[in-house]
Amino acid sequence: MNYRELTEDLIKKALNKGATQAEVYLDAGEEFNVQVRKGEIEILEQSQRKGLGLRVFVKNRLGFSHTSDFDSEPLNNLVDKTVYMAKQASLDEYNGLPEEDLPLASEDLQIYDSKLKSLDINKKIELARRCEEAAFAFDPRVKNSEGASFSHYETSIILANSLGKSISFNSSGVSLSCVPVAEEKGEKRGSVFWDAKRFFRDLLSPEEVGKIAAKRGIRLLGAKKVKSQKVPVIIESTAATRFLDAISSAINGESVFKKASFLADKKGGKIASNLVNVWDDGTMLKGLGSLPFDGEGIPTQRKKIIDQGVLTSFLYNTYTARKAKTKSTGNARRGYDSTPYISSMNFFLENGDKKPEDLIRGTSRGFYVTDLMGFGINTITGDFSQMAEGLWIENGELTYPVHEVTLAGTLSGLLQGIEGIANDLYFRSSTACPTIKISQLVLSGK
Amino acid sequence: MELNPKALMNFSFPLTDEDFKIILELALCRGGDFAEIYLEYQVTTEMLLDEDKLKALSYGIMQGAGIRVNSREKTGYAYSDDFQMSNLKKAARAASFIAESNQRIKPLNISHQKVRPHFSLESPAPLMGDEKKIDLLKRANQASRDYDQRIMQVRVVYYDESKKIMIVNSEGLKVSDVQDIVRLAVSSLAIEGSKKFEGYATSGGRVSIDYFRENPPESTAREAARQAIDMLDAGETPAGLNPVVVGSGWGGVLVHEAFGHSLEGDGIRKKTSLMSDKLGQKVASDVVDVVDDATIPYGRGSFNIDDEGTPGQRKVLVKNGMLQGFLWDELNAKLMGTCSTGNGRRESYRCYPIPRMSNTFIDRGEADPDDIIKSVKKGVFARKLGGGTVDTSTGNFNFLVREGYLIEEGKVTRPIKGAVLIGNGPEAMKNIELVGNDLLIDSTTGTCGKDNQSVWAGLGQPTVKFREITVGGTKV
Repeated sequence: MNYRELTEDLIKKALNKGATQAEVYLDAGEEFNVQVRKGEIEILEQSQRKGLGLRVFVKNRLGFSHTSDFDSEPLNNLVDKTVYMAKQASLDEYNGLPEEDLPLASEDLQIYDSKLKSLDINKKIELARRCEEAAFAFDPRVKNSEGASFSHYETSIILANSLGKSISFNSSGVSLSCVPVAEEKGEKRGSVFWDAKRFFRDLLSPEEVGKIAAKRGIRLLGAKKVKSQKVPVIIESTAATRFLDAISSAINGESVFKKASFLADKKGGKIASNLVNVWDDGTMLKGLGSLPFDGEGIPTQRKKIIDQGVLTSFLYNTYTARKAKTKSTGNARRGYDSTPYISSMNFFLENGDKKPEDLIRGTSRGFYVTDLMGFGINTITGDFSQMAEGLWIENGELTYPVHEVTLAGTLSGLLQGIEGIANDLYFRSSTACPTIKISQLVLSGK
Repeated sequence: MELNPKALMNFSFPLTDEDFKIILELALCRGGDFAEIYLEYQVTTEMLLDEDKLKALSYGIMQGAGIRVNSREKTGYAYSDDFQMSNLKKAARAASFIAESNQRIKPLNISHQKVRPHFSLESPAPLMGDEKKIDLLKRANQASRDYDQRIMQVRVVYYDESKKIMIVNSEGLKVSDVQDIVRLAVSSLAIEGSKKFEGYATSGGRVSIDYFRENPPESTAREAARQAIDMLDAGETPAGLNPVVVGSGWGGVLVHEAFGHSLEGDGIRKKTSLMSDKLGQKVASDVVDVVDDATIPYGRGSFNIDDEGTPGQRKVLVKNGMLQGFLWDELNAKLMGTCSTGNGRRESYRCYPIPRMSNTFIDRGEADPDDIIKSVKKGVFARKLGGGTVDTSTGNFNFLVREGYLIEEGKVTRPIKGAVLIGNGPEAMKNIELVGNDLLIDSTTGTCGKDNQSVWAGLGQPTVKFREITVGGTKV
């Protein structure tokens, strides 16, 4: 039995056992990772993986199971168990498969590089090696390394449900990352940089990745603490991305419905400065977050989330959309081992018209943030506090490095306070943000 | 086969010693010093009660085998999601790729080792019937809602896992164990006008069914609700250096992150950790003892054997402020000419083992916790910490304070919101002024992430006072 037949067979069995509706999400693929450290292979991993999730509804009660065991007897038992579990769950009128038929075909989003699997293994090792070498070559103070890695995966998804036929697609991903350690006068400073793409040919060169990784550590050597103060802040693109992640979770339809979000009652309201335009786009060509259809089979969409500072849209899957009396926005995400949850696809702040250097030049005194760390972003209350590292700005120039400080405030204050957006938007994950300038944040230090 | 955690007790991996030998020989076909097969069969149950509804009941099976080959510093790794010989042979060949020496070692004859358990569970919690599990959820939900009418949302998640593992290696080891764990987590959202706060509490561990008699779901649920209500009126946090008292139990996450990670053997061998050359040196103030103990009964981070088959152990890492030892897995220990401390752990058969903590804590001190608070004129009491992270190269750490208060004139006064604690691990360890006599190990919730692998971890400490820590706040 091939995988497609297997999914259809499971659905039939679930219906026979008393399920009103059933759905199977099957994920099978390959993954590869090589890590090189000080020029030698440290880790080499290559495997094939598989797993499936079975979602059944008995009337409107939900049962779910997942397994990596595809043998027929365990699978039959699993069907029994899942239907049994569903019968124990509460009746919930919003439960059930989407009403829409599964799409028959979709536009090619260019998310699968079929040539990845034929890449020569020695070439892959060489890429990681070149990446690390470039980091060492960048500056003599790069004396150690946690290694450089080249990884790729490819996966085939099959989604089948009891309302229609099954649909499927292939996708792939490839990445290069580098973690050099710079040392000077007894101080150690590790730093990370990576690039990730759908297609191998779109990846930054290993030399570029290694060089940037090294530079990120070197520029922070000798960092010191500064006094607590209110200060204008420029947040570099890689670090700013985490605030976009926070917005993406604050517009999650489920949190919004429960009022567990600081943006819950803000739709149509002015939540950010006029400069701010945010998009969620599941259809972007070659996007790392692009999918032809979401985890329930709803076609993905391109939609504006914040339009010149005004909040225009929340994110929904089928269940939450029914509760909120609206339509799914195609934002159901899942792995084979989870039920569909809500998540953004490719989520980004639109580019501004300034170069990052111009933002710095226009700041007489401020803090240029290169890294943000920690769990202190509360999307329920809208408060945040993050550990920050970066460079101090004096008279429009980057000067000495700063660390062991925090930046804190409210997410509303941060969004309203955006007074400059650079033009350096770049996707190395499914969320991306250009460098931004905030008029003022509270810095805690000495 | 019946589908419940009970079935796991009778489950045996469908492979013979002869099969293992064939796989290990194949894994070493290009050379290499060591080969290992790690087998796992795991069943999980997850139940979600949300908005007064039992929304989802889930059941999961994870099974497979990971094959590892070591050749000096190199690790080759591959896994299979089933136990079919054809797939295991394929994985063995893939894992063998890194080795290229003319010397061939032959796997030694396999001899089965018995596991000496540190504690035993007559009826592990996952064996509870589904109805009992559902009952825990319903009771927790009710108790949290009954606590205060401002509790608007309650979400209760029950999770349990029963895992059978087996390790067979080219040195002749064959050993197997069963690991059970359970967790009940309650999130309670309080809303009053424009003020909101979500409280969170957990219970569980590697415990028996009767655990929930002594630790009823109601207490966990009320604790989550109390936190939400108490923090509704939280005010702004003062920014800057302050004396900080961190509460007992989960507060140990600070020593776990800020210090424990820097003692893990991979960073020590590679000299990327700032502790790599500090053995025998003073790394904390005199009052500080730090222990990593995999043998604590019912501990979330406890295990009889680690994921390489080495028995779990108790290790004193710091005694009176002096660094006594590191945390080792087999590979890094061998390369450094020492022995594994039983800290080789992995998330699942899809991952190779790396050095990790088990249950890590600051040991009991002498101070009375009340006196510790009294000793602070103006500072912060972090009653409950949230998550934190550390950069092991610099030692810089940050922690969210989930529930924090001001200390004024030796008394805990008003709640403060959104505080984070940041600093440098080695400096903070030397900054510890007082250690309480109220050691508490938290076995209910720790999950530690490293190199994209999550493992369960126990954490703990008594009430601890830091002379000063930078508090990230909004009031300057």
